[in-house]
Amino acid sequence: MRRVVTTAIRAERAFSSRISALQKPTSSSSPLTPDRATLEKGTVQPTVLKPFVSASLQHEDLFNFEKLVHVDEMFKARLHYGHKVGTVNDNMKWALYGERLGVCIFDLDITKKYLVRALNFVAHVAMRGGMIMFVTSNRDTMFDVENAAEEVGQYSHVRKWQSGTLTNTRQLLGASVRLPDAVCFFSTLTSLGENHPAIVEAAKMAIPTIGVVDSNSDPAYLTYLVPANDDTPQSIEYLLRMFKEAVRKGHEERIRLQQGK
Amino acid sequence: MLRSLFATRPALRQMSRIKKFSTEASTGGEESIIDFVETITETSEAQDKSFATLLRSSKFMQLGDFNGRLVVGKIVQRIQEDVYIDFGLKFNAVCKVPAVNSEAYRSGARVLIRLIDSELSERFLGSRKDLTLLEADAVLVRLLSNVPGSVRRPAQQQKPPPNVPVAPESSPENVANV
Repeated sequence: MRRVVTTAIRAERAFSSRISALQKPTSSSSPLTPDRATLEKGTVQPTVLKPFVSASLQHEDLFNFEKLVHVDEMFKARLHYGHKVGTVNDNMKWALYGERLGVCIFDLDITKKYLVRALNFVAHVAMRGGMIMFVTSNRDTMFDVENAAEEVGQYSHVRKWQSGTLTNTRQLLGASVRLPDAVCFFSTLTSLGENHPAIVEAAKMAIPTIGVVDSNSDPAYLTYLVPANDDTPQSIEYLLRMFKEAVRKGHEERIRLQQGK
Repeated sequence: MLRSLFATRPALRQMSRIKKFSTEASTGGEESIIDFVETITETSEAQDKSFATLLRSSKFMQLGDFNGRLVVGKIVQRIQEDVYIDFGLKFNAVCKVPAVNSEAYRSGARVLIRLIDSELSERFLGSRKDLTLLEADAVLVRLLSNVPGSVRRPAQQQKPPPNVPVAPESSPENVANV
């Protein structure tokens, strides 16, 4: 474990030194913070701000989740089963491998790529002391999700979503409260087949979201997508294990950085 | 020490696989939690296989058309007279408990079911998408083995593992003898 983190850190250092070496010639013109003109340009083309982002954020897979996520484990956990083809959402077809006698099958290579990306994001949030909220509306898995959030010291919401919980906290709670820094949806549809109301609320409050999207889900307004089966308990169990690991890795890295200083 | 353990484990698995080749896909489902804990630390034998290969050799593909196939499932929950049977696919099948020997159908028991549909979904008039009930349709055929804790019928130990759809046969008697 420690070895993985140290190798990741070493990779990051190598990367940052490479980046700084690349930036050396232009460093006189581009300081640590972008100037006004660059910021304005960044509103149209965000990639121009990339040199100002720290090297650890530019790394694709800083915590080495590529080694943790295996296709065969995902296969065993039944992540590849989608719904019947009649329920498929047009915006989810990119993640499908195909259809077998009316049942959609996810391409786990695509799923792996997106899961690694989402885990990397979660670990980064945890590394910076962020608050992560696990949300589901699936009754079969609500206790698992609650327990998983509690185990890693994060937060969960698995009951009925009161509208305005994120957008109208002053009215509902009587005080200004800290909102979560990232929201992780383990099912994006309610039992009635509607989108979870928290997705839009999080988007309104500019909170990045991670969503496990099944073949019948709507991926709109979600920041990080994980195309996978969200109905089977085994599948959610696997995903929870991965996200717990991501939070744990980020937290360990945070402690290590704090002790290092 | 650890390294040697890791090296021997896949070899052992290979041997056991040769002995009973039909149990290859047995690791899906409930009892595989222990397997998960193992596989997170060690390199699994199927790790180098691509998704296409895994899918090609899966029972899901071998089963073909589900309609009327006999599969082995495991009861995961019982609510009064309804049992929820996990047979290794996306959704559980919900069946009524028969009146005879009703007490034996408890969570943990393995049963034989005749699968009708892997997901109950229907397109209603005027809608653009199917409405799904989020459950599978199946008919309960008979009990295969009791809950491990109970003392009845201890002889039935060498059954195929749960959640493995057995090869389709013409009669349920044949399947039960596999």
